[in-house]
Parts: sequence; structure tokens; C-alpha cells
Amino acid sequence: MFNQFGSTAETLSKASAVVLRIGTDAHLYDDPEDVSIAPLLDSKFESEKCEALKRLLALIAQGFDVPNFFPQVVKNVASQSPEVKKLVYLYLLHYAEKRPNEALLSINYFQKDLGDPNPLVRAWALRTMAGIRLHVIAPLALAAVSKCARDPAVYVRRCAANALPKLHDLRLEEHAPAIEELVGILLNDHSPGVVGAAAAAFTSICPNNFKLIRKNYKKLCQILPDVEEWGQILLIGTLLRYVVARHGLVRESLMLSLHGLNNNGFYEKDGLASVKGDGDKSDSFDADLVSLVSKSYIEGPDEYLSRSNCPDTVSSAFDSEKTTSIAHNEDVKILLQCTSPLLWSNNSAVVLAATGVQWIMAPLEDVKKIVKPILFLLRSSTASKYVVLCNILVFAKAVPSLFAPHFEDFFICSSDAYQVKAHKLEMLSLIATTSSISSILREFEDYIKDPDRRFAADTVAAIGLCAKRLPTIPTTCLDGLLALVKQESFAGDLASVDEEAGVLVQAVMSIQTIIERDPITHEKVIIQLFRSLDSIKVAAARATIIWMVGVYCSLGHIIPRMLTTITKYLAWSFKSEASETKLQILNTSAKVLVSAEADDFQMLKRIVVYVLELGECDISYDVRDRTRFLKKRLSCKLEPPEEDTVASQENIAAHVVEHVFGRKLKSSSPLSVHNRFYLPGSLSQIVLHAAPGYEPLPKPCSFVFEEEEDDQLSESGRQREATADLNGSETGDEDGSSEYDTESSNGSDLSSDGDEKTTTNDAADPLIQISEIDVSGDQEEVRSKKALDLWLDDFDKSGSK
Amino acid sequence: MLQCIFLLSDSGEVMLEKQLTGHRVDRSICAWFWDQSISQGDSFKSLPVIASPTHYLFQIVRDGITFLACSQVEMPPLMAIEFLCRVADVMSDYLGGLNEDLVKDNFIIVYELLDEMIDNGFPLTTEPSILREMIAPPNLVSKMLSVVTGNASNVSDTLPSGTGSCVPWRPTDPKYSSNEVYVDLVEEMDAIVNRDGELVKCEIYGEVQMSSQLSGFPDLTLSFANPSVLEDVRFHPCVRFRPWESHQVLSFVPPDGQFKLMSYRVKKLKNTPLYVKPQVTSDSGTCRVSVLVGVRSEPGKTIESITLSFQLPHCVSSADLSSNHGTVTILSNKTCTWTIGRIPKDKTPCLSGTLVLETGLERLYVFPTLKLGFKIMGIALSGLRIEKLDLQTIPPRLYKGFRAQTRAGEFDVRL
Repeated sequence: MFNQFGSTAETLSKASAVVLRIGTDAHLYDDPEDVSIAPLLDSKFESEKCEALKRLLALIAQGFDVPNFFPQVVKNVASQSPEVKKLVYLYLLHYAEKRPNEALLSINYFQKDLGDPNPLVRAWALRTMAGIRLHVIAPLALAAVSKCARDPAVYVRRCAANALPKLHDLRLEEHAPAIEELVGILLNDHSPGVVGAAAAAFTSICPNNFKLIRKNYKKLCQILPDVEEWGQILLIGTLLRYVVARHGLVRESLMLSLHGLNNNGFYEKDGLASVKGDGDKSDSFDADLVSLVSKSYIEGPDEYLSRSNCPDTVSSAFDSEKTTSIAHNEDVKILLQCTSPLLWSNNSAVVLAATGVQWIMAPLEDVKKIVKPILFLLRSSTASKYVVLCNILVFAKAVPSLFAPHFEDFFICSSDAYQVKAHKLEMLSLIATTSSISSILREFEDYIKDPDRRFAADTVAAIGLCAKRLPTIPTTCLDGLLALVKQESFAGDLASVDEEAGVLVQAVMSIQTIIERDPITHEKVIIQLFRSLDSIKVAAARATIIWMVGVYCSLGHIIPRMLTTITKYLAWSFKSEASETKLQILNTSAKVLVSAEADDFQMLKRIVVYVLELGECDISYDVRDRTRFLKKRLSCKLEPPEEDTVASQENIAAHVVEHVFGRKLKSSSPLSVHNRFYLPGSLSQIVLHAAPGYEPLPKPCSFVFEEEEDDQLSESGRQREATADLNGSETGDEDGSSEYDTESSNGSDLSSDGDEKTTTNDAADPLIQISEIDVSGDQEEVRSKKALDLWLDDFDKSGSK
Repeated sequence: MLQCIFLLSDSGEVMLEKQLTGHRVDRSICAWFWDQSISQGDSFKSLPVIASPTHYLFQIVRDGITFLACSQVEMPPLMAIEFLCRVADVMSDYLGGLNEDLVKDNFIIVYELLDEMIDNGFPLTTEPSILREMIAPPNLVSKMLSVVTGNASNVSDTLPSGTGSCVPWRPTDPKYSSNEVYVDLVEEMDAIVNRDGELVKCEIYGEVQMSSQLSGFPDLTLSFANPSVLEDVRFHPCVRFRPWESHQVLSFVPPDGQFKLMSYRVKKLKNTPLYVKPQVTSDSGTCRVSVLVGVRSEPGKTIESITLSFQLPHCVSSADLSSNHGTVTILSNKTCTWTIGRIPKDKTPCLSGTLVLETGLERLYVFPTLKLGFKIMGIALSGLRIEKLDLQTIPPRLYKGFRAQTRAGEFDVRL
């Protein structure tokens, strides 16, 4: 319309900005208190009331506290205007807890509204009433919810389902059975919209009351594709938990593939190893890790702690009786069938939840169908990219071959955030195979030239990891890395060296990782590194190389002959080194001396004595301490034995010295036993500690329903537990500990854990406060405390490192 | 479940807080969050899930506005993130964009929207077309009306009819005098060209966007001429899975108005429409750069709004770049943008010039990545073709329209 006036773009945008502000609530937000609000609230015009309420909301939005208007606002609940009503509700919900007495005044109006013919009014009233967290009105609210749960309007029933967790949150023991019954009714609803909300209520109120699910399991599966997306996320999880509790894990699945339940060669025949003919089978499958993952999914925090104390009992957790086979089990089949189309969902959370089901339950040869959907999620949004990658990493650690053909999806693009880049690098180094490594290394070459030097350093580390995994490629890597070391040591002269130094240090470390595997064949590389010592200025890199001098000092033929020169050089440069490097020089000279051959010995001895003298008067006390220690230890080498009487003692000392300094390096692969895994798609997997409220999968076959009781009683002892659980309606921790007693053979570990817990309990309180009205020692709360403790323990450990 | 949602402006001011459950979250958490993001920089800002001392935080950033959600218990993190994205989408749709002023000016609408979208920390109504029925978006007419009469409610007093039906995304019986349905193929090309000039990866991310204004309860079937090119697909909830599984046909009852019907990916493309040939030689403290951009394979339509942007490395102290076509701008944060527009017929656009390196540096050792942007109207580069769109019952005066366009997505050319 402005074009008619021939206005330019600039004035147009100005004009439209002004127009845009007219009629909005801009002035209310900018200056909410320029008129007095109280009289407006009492006005007889709806528009003035409305304005007053908007001003109050503006104050709330800006963080001011305005509960003193509560009585006046409550009066307006009776208003007929939908907007005033809505605004009053917004205000009420914000303050109800602070002004319980006045809030009670509004109850009558809500009850009147609950009988309104307009479903929207009923829904609003219900939402607000349930949202006012007062114990006094809980019975009224419960009555309202149970009435609305049978409402003809779908929307109202949905709101009723949403209201249930609010009531449950008040922790009123006497209402618990009624609430759970309502959850059951709503789960049985014929409208998918209601079922979704009911699934959410089920998850937060009684996640282990599988009786409610059993009644309509089949129907829930069939309705799943029609449930709205948010409900799907939680319903998928609920169904999975039910099937595990009812039937146990699937014998053909990845989770159990390594417990000897499979006939051998099963997966070689038609499973994952044949995804791409890449040869080495050890690559397709990390056996220990898969069993660790599947264990982690099932065990709670307590069991994890007890297991980490006695790592020998990794396997043998699964009893073959507690598993099921997909061929014979309808429930499992249906679950897999109804979740697999959800891999096409538009909502990334739904896709991830469906992926989790397939990952845990699907037969081994079907697991690969999760790959493409989950990789497609990487394109959805920057925020979800990170979360999805965290989950993919776990899958890839267990079964690298699953993602190996798709390595291109993990190539880094410049707009990725640093964390995403780091995760992608880890992925690439995990899934590299002999056929893809050449393209991956070419990519890595590009990354090393990236302006983000931290990322470049990570890339260099990743090269080391790749070379470690694939023994055939190290030579090509080594040349590149050596060239890099050379180049970096030039660039290292610059002013902006901090990040540059990181690249250099990583390069040296990566070379060391590669050499470690087979030092003798890489003798030339080691020598080259020693030679470059003079041009490398970064302390950490120097320290690493000097350490290598000590470790490889007796390797091959050439190095032992270089030793005197190197040690001389080190002694000469000692004064100008950083203390980190000085410590390494001291260590190395000791090691060299111990392994020195007879003809060099005198020369080396003089050098070492010189270095030790320098070290004794260093300004750093660490260096002085180390020097004194070494001097004492080496005294047998430095001073020739004078009397025969002390010979035996000298012998012992010499032996100690040989032992401490003369030991050869053993190539160690740090076993990732302490890796903790959480269910795919969970918050805990992202933050890497059990978040309060995190629950592992239920124990396999822990749920048995009444009709089957008689048949199975004779089978084994576990039925007794299961039925006990039924009565108690919660299958929880007690069950778990009893089952795991057999596994953690020594009970002392368990008890020591218990002690730890009680001591850390107090420390837990200020860290995360669950601001509950402490009505009862509810199970949930206990559980969340434990989770918190576990996290704190982890925290302590990492802190002490 | 989520406990609270905060909207933060790009200066860290809390513009809005919406408490979702009885467990109030104090807004001091925002101060903690902002302190952290200042002290830790970009790597913190790009972390979508943060474990703070008291809460788990989920954040997304959209147009400078940070959407921050808090939770104290375990919940699917993607659910929180996806929900925040949905909130951001709906808000920018309602307010015609997203910025600090728009949010503040329309804070009541934002409150009403949030209240409708999430109930007790669990998403309630997120379908845009249903939300529009419950809360009227601000438009010029309603604003004028509110100025003149001083009274205009944007909250509907009746429940949207769709909420009760078996297609909750659609109002039951909309009526239009002319029935229109438009299908748009919008594709983005993601590609990586490595430093040897080799095309390492080239794929298309595409969306089928629809705009439908159809009366009654239409049942649509959309089929592609070559569905086999589609590598991965994701669908709007309205799409039925069965027909797609059996013979790759989209059968659905559409929502009313604009929506994204599906998204897809086509991998391993062999060719890009444009080539970029960078050349860098550096010697004794200066560095000569020349970048050529040209058409590699004529797509049949003109390639428009071509841009090339990159970040100069830190070690470059000054840059003198010029081009024989288009304009070159270098901002103070060392971002260089070359706006080319269309490729002229008579010459090849070329960016050339010198970079002066920091003193003491002989040659360049880090190299930036060039980001290419372009747009081609009227063509889908993936080669995906729509065969036909059928309606089960054909309403009177039906108009069907098809369009396509391709633009550059993550198109990286490493220098």
C-alpha cells in the first residue's frame, strides 16, 4: 500500500516499523508501570482489565515480583472475555503457590467453568486448577481430572492426561492408586491424541506399572503411528521397557549376540561383517564393548558401581531363560514392525527413539536399517546435530562396520561447531577401514591447514588413532607427521604460538603412538625426531621427545651410539629449558646411564653428574626433589663400590635401579572398561552421568502377569520375586540388587558402596535441589538421589585425576 | 520434563520467562549461563545441552535470540531441542521474523503461544495451522482495529475443530471459493571441494513444501517420476506410511496452508553447476590470491545471486582484493564477501589481490574455506521430478501449481 506513495525502500521500512509497533503491546513492555495498575483491574471495561493484566505480565516477563495484585486478579476469573480469562490464568499459575489463601477463592469459578459447554473453557479451567499446587485442593482437582478423563472432547481428555503428573507431583500417597487408575483409563482411550499424553503421564508417574500396558499392548502398538509426535517419543520408550520386562531381550539381537546364545558364524553369514568386504572381521564387531553396552542399558547405578569394583564379572549376566526369540514372539515382532516406519518421522526425537528400539531389539541383520535415518538426522538442525552425533558415536564404538561405508557423511564442513567437528573426527578415526583410509587421510590433510588450530591439533591426534587401528598404514602417516613436525617447528617461532604449539605436541604424540606398536622398524623415524630436537621450541613437545630418548635408548644399533651426543646436548640445554622438560631430561639421563654400555659409561657418568648438579640448584622445587631422588638412587652407579661389606646392599640398590629405569615400555591399550553407556536418546548419554530420574531398562522378564503364574512357578526362583513386584506395583531397585548378588561375587564391595553413598548424601544437597514439598520418602526421590550420588562420585574421580 | 523457558536477547537480557511447572526456576540461572558463555566463548554457545550446577539446560540460538529451556530430570534431549526449534519457527511465523524488538512488542502473543504449545512441560499443540485458529496472528487489520476500538482479542473462544478429529493437523471443514494447491521442490546443494580441487562430496538436501487451500476433506496422492533417486526421506505426520512402503507414493490429507510435506536426500551427485578455482602463492611475507568462478555445466536456467565468502586467517594483517565483476567487501572481523550476482556472458569473474602476512611469517600455513552461495529458480538439481498430484474428489475450480528451486547449502571450497 505504501508503494502508491512512491516511497523508497528505506522510508518504507521505517514506516512499516512504526506501523508494526502500533497496536502491539510495545508500550506496555517498555513501561509497564506508567499508570497505576490497581484501578484498571477493578475497571468495568474488559479492555482496561486486559491492559492491566498485560502490564502485570510485562512485569513478570522482566523479572519483577508482583504477587500483591493477586486478590484483585483472582476476582477477574469470572470474566466472560476469553482473553481476560487467559491472561488471568497465566498470572494465577505464576503465583498460586505463593498466595494459597487467595488462590482458594478462585476454586469455585474453576468448578463452574468445568461444567461449561465450551470445551476450551473446560480445558483451561482444568489446566489452571491442576496447576495450582495446593494440597488442600488436590482432592477437588483429582475429582475434576477424573471427570474430564471421560469428557466427550478429545482436547479436554488430553489436558486431563497432562494434569495427572501435576497431581502426582504433590506426592499425596492416598491419591496414588486413583491417579494410576486414571492413567490406565486414558491409555485405553480410542483417540491417538489422548494416548500420547497418557504415555507421557505414564512415564512420569508409574513407569514400571506394566500391568497397565499389558492390557492394551497390541492396541498401543497399532495406534503408535497415529499418535502425535511428542507422545510417540515417550510411548516408544514405554513399549520397549514393557517388552523387555515381559519377554527379555531378543536372542538374535546385537545385545545378546556375544553371550554364546548364537550359533557361531551367524553374523558372518548374513550379518554385519559382509556389509562391505573389508577383510578384517575383528573390525566389524567389538565384542567386549557390545556386551558392556548391553549390560549398561540394563543395570542401574548401584550395579554399575559394584561392577566397576570387580571387573572380572563382565559376562554371564544374561540367563538364557530370560531371553526370547523373535521368531516365536508376537509382541517383539509387532514392536519392531510398528516402530520401523517412525524412522521416517519428521521429528528427530521420534527417529532417535525408534532407532533405540531397533538397536536393542532388532535381529542382528536388521540393525543396519537404522543407519541411513540416523545419518539423515545430521542435516536437521545445528543443535540436534551434536546430540545425534553423541548417540551415533556409541553405536559406532560397538559396531564400527555399521557406519564404515558412510564415512563421507562425517566429513567436516566449515560451519560445524567445534564440538561437532571433534565428534566427527572421532567417528572418522573409529570407522576408518583399509579401503576408506586413503580418502579419510586426504581429508585430514586438508583439516590440518584449517585456521582453527585447536581443530587441527585434534586432527593430528585422530591420525594417530587411525594408524593405531589400521596397522597397514602407519608409514604413510609417519611421513606426513614428520613433515608436519618440521613445518610446525618453523611456524612455532611466531607470536601466536599457543594454539600452534598444540598441533606440534599432538604431532609428536601421534608419532609416538605409531612407533610404540613396533619400535624397531621405525628406528629411522626415531632418529629423525631426535635430530629435530634442536629446532623444536615447544616445551611439551621437547619433553615428549626427550622421554622417547630414554625409552628407546637401547633400541637397534644406531641409537645407542648417538646417546652420548644427545645427552651432551641435553646437558648443555638444561639451563634454558622449562621445568617440564628439565624433569624429563633428568629421568632420561638416569635411564641412559643405567642402560649404557661399558665404553660410553665413563663419559655418560660425567654428563649425568653434571646434569644432577645443575638440577640440585634449580629454582623449581619439583626439579630439585627429582634430582635428589635420582642422585640417591643412582649413587651405586655413580660412585664405585669401596668396601666389600656393603656389596650385598649395593646389589639390591642396583637391582632397584635396573627395575625402575631399565624397564622396557609395554605397549598398553587402555581398556575402556570405565566407559559408561546410557540408553540411546537419553539425556544421561549426552551429559555422561546418570541424570536424576534416569532409569535403565527393566530387568529382563521381571514382569510376569497373573494368568501365567501357575504355569511358571515351577520353573525357577525368579518368579517369586516377580510376583512380589506385582503386589508392590513397582519393580525397582530391590529386585535388581537381589539379581545381581550372584554376579558381584564378593559382597564387601557392595557394602563399601553403601558407605560411600551415605557420606556423599549431604554433599549432594546444595548441588541439585529437587525443590519438593517433602511429603514422603517417595521411591522416585530415593532413586534420583542415588543417581545424583553416582554422578558426584564420577565427578570426584575426574576431579582427582 | 521441561520446567521453564527463557528467551534471551543477544545482549544477555532475559526478555521473557515462562514457568511451566510448579517447580519455579529462578532466573539467576540465566546469569550463570550468560557468564559462562562470555568466559568460554563460542564453544559454549554451540553446546546444545549443558549440565549447570542446578539444572540441565537446552539451548538453541535463532536470529540472535537464545531459547533456553531448563529441566532437572532425565528427558529425551532431542525432544527439548526439537520443541524449542518448533517454538522458534512458530514465533517467527507469527511475528514475521525474530528479533529483540519483535519479541518485546508482542510479548503477550508469545506468552499465549507458549501457554498453548506446552502444558506442564509436555508439548501440547504444536501444529501451526491449529495454533492459528486458537491464537490469531497479529496482522495489520487487527492492530488497526485495536487502535480504533481499543479492544480486540486475539484469543479464540472456541476450540479448533481439528483437535478432535482423526486428522488433528487439519481443521474439519475449511471452505474456499477457489481451491488451490502448490507444490514446491526446494533443494539445497551440499558439497565439499578439497584443496586439490576434487569434488569430495556432493549431495542434495531437499524439501517438498506445499501450500494447500482446499475445501472439505481432500485426500491427495503425490507421485514422483523417479522415486528411486531418493536416498533418505522424512515425512510430515500426515503422510501414510503404507503406500510409501509398497510403491513409493505419498498419500495424505494435507494441513491447511503452508507446510513441509517431506524432506529427502539425494547422495553422490557427480557435478556442481559452478566451478571455483582458487590459486594461492605465498612468498616472503605476501600472498597472491586469485579465485575464478564460472559455470561448469549449464543447468538450463540462470544461476542467480552468486556469492563467495570466507574468513581471512588471523595471520593476515591486511588484504587488498579486487574483482573484475561484482563487489568485494571486507569487514573488520576479517570476513570477506564477494558478491557476484550472475555470471556475465563475456568474461569469467575473477577475484584477485594480495594478502600481507604478519611480520615474521614467510608464507601462509593455514588456509580458509570459501563458502559458495547461489540460487537457481525453476530447476531441481537432484533430478527428482514430480509426476502427478491426484485428488480423490476433485473440487470445483481447482488450481494446481508446481515449482522448483535449488540453492547452495553447505557448499565448501577449501582454498
